[in-house]
Amino acid sequence: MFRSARQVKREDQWAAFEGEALPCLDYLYRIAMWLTRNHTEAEDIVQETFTEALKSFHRYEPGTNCRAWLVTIMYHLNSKRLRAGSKLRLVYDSEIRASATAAYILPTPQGITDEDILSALHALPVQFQEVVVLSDVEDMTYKEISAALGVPIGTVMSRLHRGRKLLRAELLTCANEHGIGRARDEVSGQASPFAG
Amino acid sequence: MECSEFDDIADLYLGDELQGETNHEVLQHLEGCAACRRELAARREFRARLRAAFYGDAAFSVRPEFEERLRADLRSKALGPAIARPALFRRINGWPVAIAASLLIAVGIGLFTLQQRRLSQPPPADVATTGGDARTAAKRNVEVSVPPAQHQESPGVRNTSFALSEAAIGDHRDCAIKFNLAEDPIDLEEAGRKYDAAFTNLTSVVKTRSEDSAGQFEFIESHSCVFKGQRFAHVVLNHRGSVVSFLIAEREQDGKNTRTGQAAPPNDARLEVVACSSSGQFQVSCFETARHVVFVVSDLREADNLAVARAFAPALHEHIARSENTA
Repeated sequence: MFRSARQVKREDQWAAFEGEALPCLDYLYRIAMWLTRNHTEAEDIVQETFTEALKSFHRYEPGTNCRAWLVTIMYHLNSKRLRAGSKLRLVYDSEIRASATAAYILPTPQGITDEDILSALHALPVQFQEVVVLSDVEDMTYKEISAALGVPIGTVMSRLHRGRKLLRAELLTCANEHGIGRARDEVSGQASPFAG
Repeated sequence: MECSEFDDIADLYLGDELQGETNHEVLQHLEGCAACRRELAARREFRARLRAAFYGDAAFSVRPEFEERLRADLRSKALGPAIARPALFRRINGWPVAIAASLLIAVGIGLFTLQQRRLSQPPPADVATTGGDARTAAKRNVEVSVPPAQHQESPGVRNTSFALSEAAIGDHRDCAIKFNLAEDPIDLEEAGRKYDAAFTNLTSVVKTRSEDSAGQFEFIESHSCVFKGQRFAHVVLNHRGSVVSFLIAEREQDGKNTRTGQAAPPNDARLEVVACSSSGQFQVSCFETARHVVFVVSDLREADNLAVARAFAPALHEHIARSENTA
C-alpha cells in the first residue's frame, strides 16, 4: 500500500520512540510516584512527560541516555505543576541538622523494614530526597542528576552527602523507637541498632 | 589516604564517579583498613536496602491499564488517527486478514500482468493512424500503466515509461543513498564519449546553476551509473539536508516510446516539468527532450521536489537539446 514520505517518517520515528523511550515507563513512574505521592497525579505527569518527549523526540540524540533525558523533562514539568498549583515546598537548610547526625550505620534486615526506610526518606527535605532517589535508587550519574534538576554538579554532590547523612539519622531514630539495637558500633562508638 | 578522606569520597567510589587514579588510591586504602571496608559494606547495603524498598513497593508499579492507555494515546499522536483501525477491523486479526490480503495482492498482480500483456501488443489502429492525439495517448498511458502497490504515478506523466521512472528511483536509492550499485559508476565525461554525448559537460551545467542559487544547492558529485541495465547520467546535490538526484537517461533510440508508440516532444516545444511519480519516501519529477528523460528524485515533499526540478530544467533542457540537435 502506498505510504507518503511523511507517513514513513512518522512510522520510523514512532518505532524509535517505542524502542527507546517507552521501556523507561516503569522507571519514570517510580519517580513520578515519589514526586506526587498520588497514583492519579503520577499517571498524569508520566503521560505529560511522554507526550512532551514524543513532540521533541527529534531533539533526542540516539545512543545517549534516554532515561536521563526523560527525567529532565519530567522534572521540568513537575516544577511547572508545582508553581501552577502554588504547592512549591520551601526547603529549609538542614546543614545544622545534618552536621549533628550519626556516623554511618549498618541497617539490618531484621530491624528495619522497607516501610521504615521509605518513611525515613519521606521525612527528609524534598531537595535531599530527590537526589538520593535519583542517585541511589535509579542509578543516575551526578552529571545526569545535575542536568535533570538544573543545578550544578557540586550542589548535587553536597545535597547527596547531606541527604544520605540525614537519612541515616532518621533510620537511627526509627530503630531506637522500635527498640532495636543494643550493641555499640566499634568504629563510631555510637549506639548502633545494626551491629551484627 | 586517610580514613576521613575515604569517608568523604566513599559514595563517589560506590557510584563509580571517581577518576582512575583516585579509584586506585581508594582500593589501596581499603586493602589495609578494615574499618573503612566495613563502612563501605554498610553504605553498599544501605543503597541495596533503599532500592529494594522502592522496587518492592507495589505502589510504585505501573498499572497495566494505564500502560495500555498511554501506549495507545502516544501511538495515535505519533501516527495520526488514520492509522487507528476502524472498530470493525479491530476484531479481525491474524490469519483471516493475512489470507484476504494475499488474495487481494494475487488479484492485483493478475490484473497488472494482463495489462502488461496488452501493452506489449501493437497500439490500436486509432492511435497509430491519427499519429497519436497527445491527450488521448497520455490518458491511455496513465490508464494502462497501473503500477505495483508501492509506486504511484501522477496523471501528469506523459509518455515517460513506468519502468524508466522506477529505475531512476532505484538508482537514486542504491547509488546516492546506499552506495550499493552492482556496477561501479564511471566518470561522466568518459560516459559522454562512450555512450551519450548529452552527458558531456552536464556537471558544469548543474554546478553553474547551483552556484546561482545563493547556497540553496550544494554539488556533491556526478558520474554515470547503471541500474538494472539502464544507464544514467547522475548528478547529486544537497538541498536543505536532502540528497537530490538528477538522473538523465536516453529514452529511445528513435525518439519514441516503444510501449506506446507515442512521439517524443520536439525540442522547441514548451518545456513541461511534472511531478511524475512517487515510491515509498521518494518523489520523482521529470521532463523530456526529444530523446532524453530527466528525473529529479529526492525525499523532499512533492511540491519542493518539483520546484527543484523546475529550477534546473531550463539549463538542463537547453544543454541536452543542443547535444541532440548536434548529433
